[in-house]
Amino acid sequence: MSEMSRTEVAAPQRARAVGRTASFEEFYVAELPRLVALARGLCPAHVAEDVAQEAMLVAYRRWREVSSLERPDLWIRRTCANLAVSQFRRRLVELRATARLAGRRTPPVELSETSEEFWTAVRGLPQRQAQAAALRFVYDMPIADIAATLGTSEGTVKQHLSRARHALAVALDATPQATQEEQP
Amino acid sequence: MTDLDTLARAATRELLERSAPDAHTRYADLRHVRARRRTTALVAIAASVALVIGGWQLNGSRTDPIEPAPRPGSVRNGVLLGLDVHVDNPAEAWRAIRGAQPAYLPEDPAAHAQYQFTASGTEVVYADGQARIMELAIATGTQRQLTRCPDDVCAAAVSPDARAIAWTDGDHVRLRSLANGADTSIPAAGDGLVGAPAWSPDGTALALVGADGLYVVTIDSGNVRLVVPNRNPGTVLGPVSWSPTNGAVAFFIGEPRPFKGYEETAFTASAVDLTTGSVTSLLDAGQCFCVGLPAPTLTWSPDGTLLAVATTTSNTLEPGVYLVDPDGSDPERAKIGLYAALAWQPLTD
Repeated sequence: MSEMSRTEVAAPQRARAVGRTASFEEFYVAELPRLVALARGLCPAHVAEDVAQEAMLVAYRRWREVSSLERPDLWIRRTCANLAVSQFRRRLVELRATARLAGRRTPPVELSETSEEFWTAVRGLPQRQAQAAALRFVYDMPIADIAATLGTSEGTVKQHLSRARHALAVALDATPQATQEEQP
Repeated sequence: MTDLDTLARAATRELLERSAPDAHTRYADLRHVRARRRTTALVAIAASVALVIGGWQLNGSRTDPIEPAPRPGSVRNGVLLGLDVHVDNPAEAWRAIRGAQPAYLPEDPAAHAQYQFTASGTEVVYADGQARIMELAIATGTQRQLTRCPDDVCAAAVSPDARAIAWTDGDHVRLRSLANGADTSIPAAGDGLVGAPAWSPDGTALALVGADGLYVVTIDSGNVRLVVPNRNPGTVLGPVSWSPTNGAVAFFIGEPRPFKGYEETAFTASAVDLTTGSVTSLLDAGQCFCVGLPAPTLTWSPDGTLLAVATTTSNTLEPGVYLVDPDGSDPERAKIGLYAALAWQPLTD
């Protein structure tokens, strides 16, 4: 994951930088792509974009409050991660996706069999482990940021990631190698 | 053997490459949706005002009232089961909140599966991890597949005679015969139908929730009646449970509640009398963003004398499973902690 961070974490950092002073539109444009990826990692393809959009709708409605937070980027990721795993909220999003108000449809994100297998295994984890793992993979987030995003302690996040790695390794017949930072 | 990081990097790279929405177009969509929802909210407020002034909605639109089901009389309350949400493995999370735990319980339920006893109380019906609706005999452990899940969430309810399942699908109520697999559908008013419906005790009607409120659908006629309009469009009123002994349906009223920068939902367990339309508040069921936590749930006791409500986190009430009378009086905490998937076994003579 660390290799990925150097090249791919740039977009979220931009979002964080613009978060407190930017307009909602700037925040939206900077944060949406990876938010869709986060949702896609945590819920079925056909609702992922709507889950991300639903999270953005909450931020839009409360932008004055959200933009004054220290880390609006973490707030939106938490909101999206929660929407993606909450049965009732996700179901509502799914139904809205079915009866889409805007009427615009984009094809769902299709992945190769290997990648789909990996993300299916992530979605099969207990909710908190899945959220922690998805944030770690998609954003290459430091432990401290995952803890702040999920509203829990760094120790708990390490425990979630450790268990998630073990479970994923078993499910995917792979070797689990925790980074130094992830060691409980 | 591949190492996990290599797999994760490749899968994540592909995910990021292919998750590239046109953000500017989607931003325009968002503004449009927001405007539409604001209009919907205003319409709902206007409808609520009309309800208060005239009371015509509940009475005037009820073209096909549901008759109270005959009182079974011989049905007693068996074990009340719940899932302890702090235990990751559902097979180890079962707790008997009242009564003795059965010999066998589902070991492979899907996340958020709903559990239902059959009318005889000898089997539990649930969705398993392979998207199948299964029936498990709690005394012997014998299992059989009733049907495949109709959708990925698998929120389906089995009819009292165990001959059909019902689920919601956006703007339709769907029914599937378990005898021949044939599907039928009933168009429902409005959209945003969500969660598993609750069958009436006589199997002639379904109660279900949508974005606009709590509905009752008469299966033979296809009549759809909005029983309780949702005061807060966007909040979900489910799950729902139909009283086994009279024409009342229990559900949750959700209110948005800001808390530490997040919009949580505050839940009140409620029951509506389908004959009069009057709504009774039963219990403050706590509030949550429901992040990794279950939303509250509820179920009637098989003899109809109590409701079990599993509450969520709260500033004023310790989370637990509460037993409350149908008029909201005498709440008694039966179990401390966060529980999901309440199922109450009927015992028949």
